Formats: sequence, structure tokens, C-alpha cells
Amino acid sequence: MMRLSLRTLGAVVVAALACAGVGCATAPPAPQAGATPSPAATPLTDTATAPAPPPGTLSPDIPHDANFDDNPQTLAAVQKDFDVFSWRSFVALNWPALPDGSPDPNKVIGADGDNRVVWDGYKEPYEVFLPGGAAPAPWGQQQLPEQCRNIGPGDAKLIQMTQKVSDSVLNARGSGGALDGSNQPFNTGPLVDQQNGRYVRYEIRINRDTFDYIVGNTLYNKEGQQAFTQMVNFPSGANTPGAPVGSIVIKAAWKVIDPAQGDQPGRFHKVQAYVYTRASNDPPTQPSCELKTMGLVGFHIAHKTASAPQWVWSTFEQVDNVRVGPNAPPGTRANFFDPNSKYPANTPPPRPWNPNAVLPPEQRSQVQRVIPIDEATAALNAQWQGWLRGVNKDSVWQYYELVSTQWPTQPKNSLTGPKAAGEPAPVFLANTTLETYIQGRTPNVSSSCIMCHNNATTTNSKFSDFTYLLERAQSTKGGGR
Amino acid sequence: MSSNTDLDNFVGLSALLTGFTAADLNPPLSPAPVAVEYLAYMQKPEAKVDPAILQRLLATYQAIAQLPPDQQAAQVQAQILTDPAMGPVARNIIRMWYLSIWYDGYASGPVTGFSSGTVVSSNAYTKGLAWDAMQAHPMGYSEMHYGYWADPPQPNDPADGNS
Repeated sequence: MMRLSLRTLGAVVVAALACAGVGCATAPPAPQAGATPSPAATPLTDTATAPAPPPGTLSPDIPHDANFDDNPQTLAAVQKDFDVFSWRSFVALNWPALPDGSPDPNKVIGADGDNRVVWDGYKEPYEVFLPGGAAPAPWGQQQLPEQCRNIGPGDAKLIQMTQKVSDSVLNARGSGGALDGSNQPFNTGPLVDQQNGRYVRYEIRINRDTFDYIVGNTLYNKEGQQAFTQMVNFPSGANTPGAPVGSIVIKAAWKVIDPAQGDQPGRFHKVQAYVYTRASNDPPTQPSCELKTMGLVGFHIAHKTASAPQWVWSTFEQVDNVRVGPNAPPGTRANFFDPNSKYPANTPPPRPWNPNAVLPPEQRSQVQRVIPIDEATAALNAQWQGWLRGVNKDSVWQYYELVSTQWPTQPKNSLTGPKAAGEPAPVFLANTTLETYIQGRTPNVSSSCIMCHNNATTTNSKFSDFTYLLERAQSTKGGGR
Repeated sequence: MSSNTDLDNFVGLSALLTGFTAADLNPPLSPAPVAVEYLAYMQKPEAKVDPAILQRLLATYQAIAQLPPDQQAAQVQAQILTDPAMGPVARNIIRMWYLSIWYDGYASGPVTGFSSGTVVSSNAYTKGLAWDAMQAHPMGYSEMHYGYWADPPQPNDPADGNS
């Protein structure tokens, strides 16, 4: 609570809220007094005793929207509806995939312990927003950087981002590119693995509805965006016959898995991936590419639906991120928290930030969750984890938990009015691997998916419908960005 | 009087005082209901509201709420705003809703733009009705999209005759 005269109000507020746009690189918030590790999840049930889920619960069908059958519709009841939507989406997106990327109807998630997943076939932004504003290759083709060719299987995943915003975007800024600070919402610092001292890597992928909308409207280059005079409006999923699944954007955080360093591989969804580092002058960094086993530690799903024009924002984490999760074998350590570390909590590593560096133990990330997972969501997590364990006691998918789902409580608010964000619930939401250093409860500074993405624009500064991806478009006339 | 009844009465009275609807002031699914913060602040010692006057204010509204809707505003004027004890509190409630500030010294004389007061919370700061009414935003916090200043404001309410 602030106590001040009206005369001094302006100066205080400007100082406190100077970062009106999420693009400001704010000083990382000090850990709050109330910062606590998440409550330990309910111990997972054994396969033999795990209750079976209702028929159709574990399904390869991506839900088009949440189901609302509450009476009365309270905040808690609708939150649960969206949390269930998140879990259904998580299961469907991580369903075993056929070679063409479609879900395999003859398999069940986790039946083989781990599996290649449906969203592996989604497009990455670097495949869509090409140099020279060229048209993207058709759905289903991957183009590897030169450094990654001929060192491994052609179907391995490519992971190159060291922050949630693309390194190529950051590099463009450093080299005098056209993007300004407001376009880089989370340049707050890399996350460093406690086990091996390496940077966590990130990727963003878009589903076919999103890709088709971008391609169909030539939004993949600057000139196309300039010529597009309508308001950007990605397709919405809806629970009506014939409706599309809607636009989906995935953000994933990955850590290097190395059992020799104490990792428990059976607790992670893993991929073989090319870990690619771009050349950079700040700090001087050589381009490199390594084939590594990577484990999934963070997972965002942003999904535009009929009930949520501001999109639905689901975020999951591996259960050992900030504390050792349930059913862990002896010796398991948290991915990003060491109780013996003296490094300050929720503080980025010292500069320079070189993605190829291996940091010493005393400089590795010491992450605490500032806003605990609420009890209702934790209970839902235990239920779904039990169902996944019921498929196979060795399923890696039982080791993920929903942090929360953010949704608009006032979805009908005009997107061109003063309350465009639709009063999101919960007010703040952060994944400790993706918004590590901006957790908290300060309006317009602490992480809120909708409030942040409400500021997203195209390259010609028009509202881009809650995705920052369109600002990556380049010009057909050369000159990069 | 239960606290829920107090809140209902506070929101109902606030609707008549501000011209916004009860649903605008206290949306049923709001994750951060500012009405709750306002009423709670008024019940704190630092707000310097005599609890007996606050209870009388809410009880008076509760009786008014039983009247036909088209008579309620006039009765708020006659019974509350002209009352020497309740009137200043009610006027300070209007200021709080519009400006997010509980002004000191409201009971002893007119409040001016230079009077001191307390911004009730960071949540309240972002939800002042003044910003909704003028389709603007407080310093440092905006949900409006880049370039909004180039477009004419939207009608707030068809009843305003500017839709």
C-alpha cells in the first residue's frame, strides 16, 4: 500500500511502473519473502492401484476449447475447466506420432515409457520467417543450419534459442537491426542447469492452423504485413462441428540430459537434438552445433479458442525443477535449485552470457517458485499423473505438472478498448524455466501471459493477436529486418 | 450483517454513486476484485471511517435497494448524500472508485486535487473508473494496443448517445 499526496503520485508511479511495456528489460525482482518451493505433489499412485480415467480422457484429440458445465460458474469452477483443458491438450500434443506427425491411433501416450510427439511436426519460426522474406517450405519439411548437417540423423530436433526470445532477434538488435527494445519481452537472462552448468535451450513451434493463416495472408514478410489491412485474427478453436482446432503456439524449454552428472533420464521426455549456437559478437561466440540428448523441463501451450479471444495459456513443468518431485530415486537433485548453493535466488548468471559456456557450480541458477501452485491444480495434477502412471509405471509423462492455466474472465471485452486483456485469471503466471526472472505480483512487470502478449505487434506496429512471432518477418527488398 | 451482505450493499450503493453497473464494479469471475479491496480498506483504522457510520450507510442503502429501481438514485441523494455524516463518506467512495485513492480529511472539508490520500493497492491503481470513462489508462499501465491514440474512442455506453 502506498501513502502519498496526489502531487507526488505521478512521480512515484512513473518510477514504479516505468516499464509500461513488457519489452523493458527490468532488473530481476528480488525473491519475495513469500517465495516458497511448490508444495510437494501428492505421491503418485502405483499402476496396480491407479484408478482408470473416464473413457476418452487420455485421447489423441486436441481439444478445440474448454468444456463449461458448471452451475454456478464460479472462478474456481471455470479455472478447473481450463485446467482440465490444459491437461487434455498436454496429453494430445504429446501423443505418440506417426512419421507424418499425426497422432498414432494405435498407441497410447507413455505406453512405451517415452515417445516422439505430435508437436515435433509443428513448424519453428525460423522455418517461417525466412531471410529475404521468402515463402516458407510446405508443411512437413525441416531445413538444418550448415553446422548441423551430416553429424546425425536427419529427423533430430533443432534447438537453438538460449532465451525465450529468439537469439536471432537479439542478434539483430545488437547489430543495429530494426527491432527495438519493446519487441524483446524477456531478455532477462539465461537459465543454467544445476547438474551440468549448461544453458537451458528453448524452442517455439506453431501448429498448422497458425502456419496456414500466416502463409495464406502473406504475413511471413514485411511487405505482406504492410499490405494486410485487416486486424490480424488467427483462427479460434471451437466445440462445434467442423470448427478448426484453432491456432496453437508451443514454447518448450530443454536441458541437456547426462546421467553421469546426476540426471534421472526416466523422469524426462527426451529427444535427440541439434543444439545450435549462432555466431555472435556480444559476447564473441563461434557458431556451433552439437547432437545432444535433451530433456523437456518447461512447456507452454497458447491456444486461441472461441471462449478465449485472448487465448488460453497453459504452462507445465518437469516436477524436479525447483525441488525434488515425488517418487524420485535416491540421489535425485532438483534441476535448478541446490539447497547448498550460495548463489542468490532467481538471479541471472553473471555476464557475459555465452551460450557455449559451462558455468561452475557456484554460478548456476538457483530458482525458487514465487507463486506456489494452488491446491486445486495440485490435486488435479495428482489425478492426471496417476492416470498416466496407470498406462505404464515407467511413463515419463507422469513427471510433469501443470503450474496453472491463464484465461480471460471477461473474454468479450473489446480488443480495441481499454480493457483488451479481458482481466486474466490468475492475474500472474510464470513457468520457472521460461519466465524465471520475472516472477512476482507487480502489475505490468511480473509475468502474465495475456498482459504481455497483448502488446505484440507486426513489423508495422499493428496488433498481432497475442503472438510476437510476426515481428520476425523480414523484407523481400533485402536489408534483413 | 454478514460480510457478503456488506459487500453486496457496498457494490450496489457504489453502482448508484458512480453510474457504472454492479457487474462492472464487481465482475463475478474477477480474480482480483477491487470492490473487496475498497470495502476492506474502508474498514481499516487508517481510513478513519467511523464503523457506525459505515454500517448506517450500508443499512440505509439496503433499505433503498428494496424500492423500485427508478426511485433509488433519488433516495440515495435524499437520504445519503445530504446527510452530514454519511454524505462525506459517500462522496469519498465516489472519488475512490474513480481515482483509486482514499482521500484524507474528507469529513472536515472539501477534498481537492492537492489533498493527500492513499492509493488503495496496485490492483486498484490499474482499475480507476476515470480511465474507463475517458477510455484512457493510468501512467505506466495500459491494456490498449500500440497506436490506439490514432483511432477515435469507442462509445462506452449506447445510453450516452454517442454510439
